[in-house]
Amino acid sequence: MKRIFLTLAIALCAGVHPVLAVQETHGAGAMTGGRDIASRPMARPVRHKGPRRCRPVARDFYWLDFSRMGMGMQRTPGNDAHSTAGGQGARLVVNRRMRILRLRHDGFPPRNGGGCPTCGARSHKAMDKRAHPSLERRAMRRNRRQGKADALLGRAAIWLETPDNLIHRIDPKKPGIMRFNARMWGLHRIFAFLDSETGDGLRRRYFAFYDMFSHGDEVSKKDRPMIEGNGYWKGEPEFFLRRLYENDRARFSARTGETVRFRLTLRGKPVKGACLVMITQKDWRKTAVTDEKGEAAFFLIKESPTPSTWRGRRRAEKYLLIASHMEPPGKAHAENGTAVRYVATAMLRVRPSRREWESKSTAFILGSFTIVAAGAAIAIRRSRRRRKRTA
Amino acid sequence: MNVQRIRLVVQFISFVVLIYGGLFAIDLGNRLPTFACSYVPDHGGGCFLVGFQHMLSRPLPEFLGEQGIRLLKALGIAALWAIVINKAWCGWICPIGLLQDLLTRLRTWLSIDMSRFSWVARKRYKSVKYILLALLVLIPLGIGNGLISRDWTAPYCQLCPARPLLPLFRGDTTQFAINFFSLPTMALTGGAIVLVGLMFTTSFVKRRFLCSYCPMLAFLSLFDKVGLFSLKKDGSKCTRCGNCYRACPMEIREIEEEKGLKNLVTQDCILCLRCVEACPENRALEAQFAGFSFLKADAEAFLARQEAATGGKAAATKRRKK
Amino acid sequence: MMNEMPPEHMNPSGAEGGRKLSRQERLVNKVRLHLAMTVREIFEEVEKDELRPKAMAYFDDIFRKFMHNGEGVIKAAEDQKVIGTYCVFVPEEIVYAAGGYPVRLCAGAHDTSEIGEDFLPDVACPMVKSEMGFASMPILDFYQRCDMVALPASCHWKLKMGEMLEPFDDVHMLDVPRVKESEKARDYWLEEVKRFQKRVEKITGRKIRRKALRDAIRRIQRAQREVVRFQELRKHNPAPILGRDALEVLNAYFYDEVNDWTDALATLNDELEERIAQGIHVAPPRAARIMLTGSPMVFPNWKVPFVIEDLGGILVCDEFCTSQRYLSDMVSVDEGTMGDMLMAIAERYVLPCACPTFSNTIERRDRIARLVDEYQVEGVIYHVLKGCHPFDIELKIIEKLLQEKGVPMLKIETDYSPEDVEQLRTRIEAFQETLKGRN
Repeated sequence: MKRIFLTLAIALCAGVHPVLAVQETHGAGAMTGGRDIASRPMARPVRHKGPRRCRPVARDFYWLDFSRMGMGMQRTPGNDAHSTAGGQGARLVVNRRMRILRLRHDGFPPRNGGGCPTCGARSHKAMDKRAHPSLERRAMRRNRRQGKADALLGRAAIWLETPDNLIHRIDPKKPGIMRFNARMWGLHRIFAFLDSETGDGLRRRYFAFYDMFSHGDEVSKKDRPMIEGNGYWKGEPEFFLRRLYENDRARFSARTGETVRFRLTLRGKPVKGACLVMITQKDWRKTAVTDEKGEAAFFLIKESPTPSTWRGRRRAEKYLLIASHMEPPGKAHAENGTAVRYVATAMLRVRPSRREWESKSTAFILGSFTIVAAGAAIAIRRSRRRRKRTA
Repeated sequence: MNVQRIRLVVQFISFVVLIYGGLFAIDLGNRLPTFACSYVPDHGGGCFLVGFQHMLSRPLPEFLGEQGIRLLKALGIAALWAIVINKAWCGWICPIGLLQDLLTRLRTWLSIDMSRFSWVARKRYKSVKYILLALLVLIPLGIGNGLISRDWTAPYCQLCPARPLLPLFRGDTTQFAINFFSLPTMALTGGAIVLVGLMFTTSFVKRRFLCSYCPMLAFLSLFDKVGLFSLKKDGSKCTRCGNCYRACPMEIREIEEEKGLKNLVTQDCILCLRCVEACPENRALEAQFAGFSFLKADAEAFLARQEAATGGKAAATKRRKK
Repeated sequence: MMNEMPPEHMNPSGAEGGRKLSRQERLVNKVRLHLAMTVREIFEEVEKDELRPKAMAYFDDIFRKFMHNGEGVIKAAEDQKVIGTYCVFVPEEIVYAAGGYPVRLCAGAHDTSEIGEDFLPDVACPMVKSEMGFASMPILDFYQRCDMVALPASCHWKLKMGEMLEPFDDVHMLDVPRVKESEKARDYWLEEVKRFQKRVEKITGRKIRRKALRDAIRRIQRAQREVVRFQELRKHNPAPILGRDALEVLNAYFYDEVNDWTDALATLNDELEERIAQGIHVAPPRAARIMLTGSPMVFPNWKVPFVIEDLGGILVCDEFCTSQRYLSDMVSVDEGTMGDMLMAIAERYVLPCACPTFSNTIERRDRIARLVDEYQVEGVIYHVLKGCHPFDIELKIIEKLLQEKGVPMLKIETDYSPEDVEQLRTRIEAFQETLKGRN
């Protein structure tokens, strides 16, 4: 009996990992922080230097929207039951690395008419069972409604920077909708560019950025030099709102509880004092002003409480960053004496932190319970057997 | 020569290399057929099952092309490892094996008696690891072909006790958690935690409890016949004293029972070589690597080890004289 | 030689102090006298051998004490409990660990086997009869000193002997499983060993602790280690020691304290090593190397080895449960926990044992084949005691095995009486002649 108690004592001591305990309390705090936010809009801007006042946000911007379509299996358009050549019925053609992005002009947060704000599906039940309603068709319809903007959307130029430092131009098949294969392992950057001349004395240049990490199979040749001169600018976009990562091995996703840092450059030079606005999917807003290096940081707080269902706990939400900068007439692109207004957006998919959908304390309790229960079961079994033997 | 001590040292070294190797710029690749968990930050080598499960979760037609070649390449590397150091991966390298062996040492130090399964039960559970190995292939294929939910992604990583446990040695507790994303993830990650608990408790009654059900052992056992390490037995020298069976952490009865069998690396063998050490008959058991025999059963060595095991010279007994 | 004459009071015809001795006392005195004479004859014979190792004197002393009522044969302290054992299945480690003194009671005296006929039928094995004789009459004092007798139910004679011993001794029967391969049999035997442990603990009044058991195991392992060395030396050709002397050495283990015996054997081993280095040998290199197997031979039933070696053969090894089989298998401590050690002890006594009372003969066949190879045996003498059925049953199997190996075999069936010595001599001589012819 003494031995059994000794065993259990050691088992318990070994189970209580100090690091574990500390992490757990931290997790709990963060979770309540997430709930508190409902009562106070966008708390805790990261402290920044420079003027605190921020100019009003541009309402007119284009942004790159990520679509869940293309993840996993997909029914190829035009290849359904009626049109299969071999007559084998519906053939599933799958390309897991296919990504679909949409350039949108309908403001943020997107209004989807009551559907899922993340993916556009009517309900998630439907999403589980079959493919989404065609986003392309919906976008087309919406674009048709928007008239003038659609004409501009058709002129958008879109590039993809792959992890091997190549820049590919993507030609949208339909205005504003682009597909591409993210075959490589690593960070893919997509940016779109639109230039408008409305003739009202203000020229607008729109930029939209989206950083995406793909777990592709191809390994990039990292030593390949950056292909310069992609037709528009040398090396990088003219007005560049880029997310900064700690290092090459950092996680390229964004999670609540983390700080994301952005740098804004115009023709390679940092833009000081520009206004950056972050808009969440529930329309919370937060502003920050760039410093001398053109940098601004945001602390990501979960905006909605943790759902009680399992399903929703790990769902990503879209946060949009908007930066605008007005250049007076007479500068680089102002040959006609018109001012240029630069607008850049960067879309972030923010996932809840692990502790929203993972529980260490439950794991610890379950582990301890297993140890104790199994230990007790064995002890009882042994003592019974011993009693039987002596009897 | 105390092989068990050497084995422990080798296990420690492999543990350090596999868990902390990344800090010393060691990279043994991600195709090792052992539980060198890839979830450990800066690991020095990774378990091949991680990539294998991901590679398998593809639609079947893809395996006719590039993906098939990629899969074969990964399998080939793992198979090569499995042939060169076949079961020694389990007995000499596996970090989970080391943890279980250390707990066993703690148990013997506490002088807690060991239990054994009955022969019938043992025989019944033998097939479990092969069933697990079959599921290891079938579940990812099901995911890739839309039959099984993606929540089952890499099911064996989610279920593996090494995933919550080994990152703890690098101070990373993120894996020691239950994933409440969906019912399958909850069940799998919960299962991993239960396995950790079971590993801990059962180490105080049994040796290498988890290894009997390990799909990696099942995978390695496919290469028993062609593996370079082999365990030879000379049946005519065997007295069937049962020492080897008693010493065997995997409770392999063939080692004692069989007099005709030549190669005794059976499906459960982890090549710990305890049986060779426990054998008191000269050359009845021999451990060979590629035909070169490096350890033989030796009566003298056996007695020397026994002297150490029973207290050595210090425990000289009192003489009784009339 | 005078001082080795039996004491005067043992004279069977005489009366002591004017009192008329009872029939029983007269019988005891007669048997004592006969035993003493047999022992004396043996040692007279032995002393003719000039090349005998000097270290043998220690072992001779033990057996010489058989002449004096067996006093001082066992070295148990006054307060030490003595546990008598039979056969090879009684775990002596447990006795030593509990502070007891094990003494093996298997006997080989002809006169007591005649007394034993009061209890057992004529066809019974002479060893069992002899044991019954010693147990029922005060001939050797250590038979009477036993606080308990552990009797394994090995052969049928031993199985029934327990009940017959009960009037004279506190008997503990050990049920040895006959079909030892099965799991249940092993578990059962382990339980039997544990039951024996409890019983011994009760008798000695000392609970067996882990350390004590470990030390006891170590003591016996040390002895076995010397035996391994001794046997290695015996493999040497030409032989450094006579087979009958080797039998005596191993037979002395029955009675002697294990550490003393080990030290004496170590001395003997050292001497033998020296002899090999100096080239001294007791038999010519061409002497027929003979192995003995079959029913055990216990002092003073040494007529067969004497005959063999008188005729110029050399007894290189044997497969008796009284010598080589008794001490060749060792306990293997693996984890060192109490349960592990007990299991190791239990398995050591049964699993590798080549006793013919077990259902299979594979252990015995392999062992004999191995001994034949290792000791370069040229001829095997299969010794069967009249009434010893287990060994008789296995005869054909072993004969077949030896035929396959090309080693000639001679079966001799005898008992403890010295009458058939001349007949044995003729047969063994003829056998050895054929061996010579082969060479």
